[in-house]
Amino acid sequence: MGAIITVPILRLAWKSLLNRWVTVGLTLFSIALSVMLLMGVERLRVEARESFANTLSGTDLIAGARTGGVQLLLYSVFRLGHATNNISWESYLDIAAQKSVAWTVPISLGDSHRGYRVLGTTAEYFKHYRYAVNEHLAFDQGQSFSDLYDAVLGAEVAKKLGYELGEAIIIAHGASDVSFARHDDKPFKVVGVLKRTGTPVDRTVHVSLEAIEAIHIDWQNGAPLPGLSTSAEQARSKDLTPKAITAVLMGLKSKILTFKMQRFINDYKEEPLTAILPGVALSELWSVIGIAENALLIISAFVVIVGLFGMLTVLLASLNERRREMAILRSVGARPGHIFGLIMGETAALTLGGISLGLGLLYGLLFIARPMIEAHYGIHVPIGGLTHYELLLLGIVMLAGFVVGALPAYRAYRLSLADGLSMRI
Amino acid sequence: MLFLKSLFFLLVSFTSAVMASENRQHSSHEHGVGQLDVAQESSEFQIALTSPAVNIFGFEHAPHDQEDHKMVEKKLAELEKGEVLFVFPEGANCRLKDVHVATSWADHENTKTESTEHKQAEREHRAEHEHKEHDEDEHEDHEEDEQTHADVTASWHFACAHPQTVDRIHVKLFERFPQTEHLRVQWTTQNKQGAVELSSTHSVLRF
Repeated sequence: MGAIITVPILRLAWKSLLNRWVTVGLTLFSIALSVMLLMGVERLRVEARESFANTLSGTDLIAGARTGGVQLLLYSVFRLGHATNNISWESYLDIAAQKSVAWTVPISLGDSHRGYRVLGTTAEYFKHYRYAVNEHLAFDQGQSFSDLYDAVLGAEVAKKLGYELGEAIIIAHGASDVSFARHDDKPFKVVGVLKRTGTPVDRTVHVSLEAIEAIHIDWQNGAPLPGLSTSAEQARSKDLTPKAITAVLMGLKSKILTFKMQRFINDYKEEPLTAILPGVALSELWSVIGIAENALLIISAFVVIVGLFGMLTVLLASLNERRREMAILRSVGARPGHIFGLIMGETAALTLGGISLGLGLLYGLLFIARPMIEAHYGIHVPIGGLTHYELLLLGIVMLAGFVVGALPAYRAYRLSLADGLSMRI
Repeated sequence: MLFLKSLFFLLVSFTSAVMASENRQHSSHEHGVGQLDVAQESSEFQIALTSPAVNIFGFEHAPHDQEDHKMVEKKLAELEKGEVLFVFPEGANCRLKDVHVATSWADHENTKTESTEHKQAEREHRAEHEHKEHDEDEHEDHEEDEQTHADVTASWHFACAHPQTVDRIHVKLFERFPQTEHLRVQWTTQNKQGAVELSSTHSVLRF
């Protein structure tokens, strides 16, 4: 008997929904927006973490001048912020000579090229720098530097600025690209372009440490000394051993030695230094950011609750108007239980529809915003399927929709019991 | 071991009043909070603890009476029981290979390896000897107590038959040394690093 009645009731319910399309549509949309916000916040949180975690791997320690661990990590790996102090070359050599050290990559930051950071380093960088799960840097074109004025570009630098191998580029002093602070007497030649990595490496111009030294001959306090000019060729014959570097990435012969080496650097008497385990500093960063993340997630959860309450309001408000409809349904054979099921079904459909529409909006938005997020923040947001946690969140939203729907459904049930076929308004 | 020796001497130099005028760098010292470093390389696990002495013994002055010495001996012996303090997953089959415990009071330094159980006796003997020494220069000790903090360093070396199954270590230091409220943990394994703060309610380190 159930099936015979259910089909016409469902058809009637659908027609009833269509009849109320404005309020139903708005309710659906508000649920969709709240779901999109919730999922969007969750997605960004996870992807930002993933992206940060994938930026550097295989490096046991990073050493820099005495500073906070998080700060050292941010400026040495993510090119965010800058160093307050440098490490002297002597200290670097001393650290690199320690028995437990397998390899070191010194890095020197400070200059820029059209908004992209310039990183002074050695050829070791291309050999030892690893990202994601032990991925090595690879050359898309060309090779590592061989001449003093050679530069290797990250994938994005080459693509955005349209550089090709052999092209000459001018490096600017400091982070701002103003005409009087350019090293325009010593142009660099592009000799290599790296493959895309999805890390800040893509947005970096790599040159040798000696080149950084060479372009700063005759410079003092951020400006060229007047009257002095050492040409690019003359600079080659000078002593280009760096005096200081910004930080050093290092790998150790055994992980067991990590903390011994960390303590050696932290307790280094000649110069106040800090050594960090990049993964540890990242954990510390997340423990700070986690508070803000949770706040965002809680706010978006509340937005979902508000959306569901909106649905409750609409359903309850419409019940009185729909008493006639209920009476008609009863007249064609619907029992009060059917009426209850009908309203429950309606809320379930609205919630499910809202979730689907919300996900659709989210993926649409991600698709549009992805290139912008990647260009501005270097965070690569892959458009993948739903994770377990996201499915769980959506399940909770669905369940909350059911709970919210039970109230008007029960009320409709009571009303239809009281009204029966007749209706007293 | 060389590392701990050098660290030990470093700590000595830090606490020594003579050196204080030459070296003005100080490591942090926060009562109730210890630093735990956990490193893994293939089948080996190295765990190192640096903790204010008060977290372990309940006091930070150099031991000067019989009671203090007893307490120090007892707690040091507890520190040496690495297999009790750190519980590895059962299937990993981990064994404690050696232990090294030292305090910055300079006269307590203990090393124990599987093969040298006799050191236990030697240590006890030495403790008695130290006691006598202490009576002689007790006055000096007092002077130093008032100015300096003391630290305890310990390291445990485990070897596991199935290291790949070690996804967590249950840290039982909080039960044995209730004055230890928090442990700041840094860890590094074959391809991951991380940090976590453990306490008596969250005492499982997960990799």
